[in-house]
Amino acid sequence: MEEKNMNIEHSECYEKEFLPYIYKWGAITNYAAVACSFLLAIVLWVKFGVFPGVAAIAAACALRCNVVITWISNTISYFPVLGAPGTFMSFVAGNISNLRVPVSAAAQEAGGAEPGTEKSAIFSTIGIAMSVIVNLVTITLGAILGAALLSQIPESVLNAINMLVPALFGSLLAQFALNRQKLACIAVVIGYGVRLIYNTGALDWLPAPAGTRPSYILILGSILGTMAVAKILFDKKVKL
Amino acid sequence: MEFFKVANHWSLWIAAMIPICIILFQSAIFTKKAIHTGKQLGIEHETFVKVAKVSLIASIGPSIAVMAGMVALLTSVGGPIGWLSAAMIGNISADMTSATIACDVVGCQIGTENMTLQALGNVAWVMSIVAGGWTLVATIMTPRMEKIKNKMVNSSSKKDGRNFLPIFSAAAALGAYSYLTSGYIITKDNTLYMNGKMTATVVGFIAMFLISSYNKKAKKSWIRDWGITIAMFIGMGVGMIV
Repeated sequence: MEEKNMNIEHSECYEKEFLPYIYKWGAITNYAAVACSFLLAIVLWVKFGVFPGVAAIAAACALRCNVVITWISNTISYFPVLGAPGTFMSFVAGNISNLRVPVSAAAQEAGGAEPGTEKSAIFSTIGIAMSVIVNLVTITLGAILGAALLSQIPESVLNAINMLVPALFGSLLAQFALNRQKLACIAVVIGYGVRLIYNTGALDWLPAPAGTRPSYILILGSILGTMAVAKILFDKKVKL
Repeated sequence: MEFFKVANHWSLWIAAMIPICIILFQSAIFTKKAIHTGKQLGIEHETFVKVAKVSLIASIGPSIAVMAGMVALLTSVGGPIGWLSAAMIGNISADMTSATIACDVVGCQIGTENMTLQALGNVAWVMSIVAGGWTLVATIMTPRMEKIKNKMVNSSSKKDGRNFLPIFSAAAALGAYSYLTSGYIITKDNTLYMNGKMTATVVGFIAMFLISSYNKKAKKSWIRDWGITIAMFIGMGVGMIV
């Protein structure tokens, strides 16, 4: 892929209007959605008198405290792919790696803008919004059909659907690899290398909550490692 | 009151619907603003339509997978919690872990008859707290990360006019998929997985590589639009047979 001598876009409409709007309304809607996600628990309490007690909540949260690092590592890891608006949307709608990132990538590719540019952020926004709608329609149908009907689905079909996500990840790696083969090889060496080293326990000295392992290093190491090597090679004027 | 009579009560459906409506509202206003800004950046109407169409198609397969994953939650903690979990932050496996632990600490086992309303309540609280953390952290960090990204990219371009931005994004994406695929290829003992998911990953990769390579010359738009979906289903199909 030829390196174009591009000017970095700093459009007024994007920087001075679009981004501030996204930051403001992204924050309002995200905080509101999180607050309202507690309504279910509150209705159980107020209407049915069901409250598990602070001790039970705290005990369960303590056992999940290893996610605190993934809150940070996931944000750092996926932000470069999703863009700012895409990150706001994906981190409230969820299913980031298996739905939002693939659709964001497909949308940016379809729009034909260089990744990371203002136009690609626009395409990513639209793409993720489409995925929100499609996903909501699909799961609402599923929720309405109900557990009884869905559990009639044969095990073999459910097993087959479980293969969708790994196949998707393999396809996406190929899609990105085709255009940047050198960088793809670097990414695979680093990503797979970090996992191989992690599995030996050699990285267990990294900080992690008691009783857990620093699994955040798998994603951070792969993404930040690839980006760091890319930067070094870019500065050395190596074509990537 | 019987467990599933509570777990599937209409009031919980309404409670779950409210944050989901907020997410839909956010998508709507962001899309409207994105189109408005995009037009000012010179993006044409046809491009918007193409992007929307491709995104819609690309969403179908993964959404079916999310729905299938939701079944386990539906059958164990009812429709409203399952629906909210699939619609909102936290992928199904993360929410399932939160739900399992929330039940364990009150002496219940999710997915069995040993489930009490107290366990249901704990699932609701813990899932919202754990999932909420992702949203809050990402919301706070994003504007700062945008600034850092701009600094990194601008400092490179000032040296000799070359643009690091596309490489920055490509490196991030490749790093992400390298990490995500490695989980299906390499076991905890550093051996190769010999199962359908590993096959699906590898075949999905090969299928997409071949399809995209072919389309570089053929340049057919339907292949570009449906390529990922086709490769995904080929990978899935072969993974099932193995």
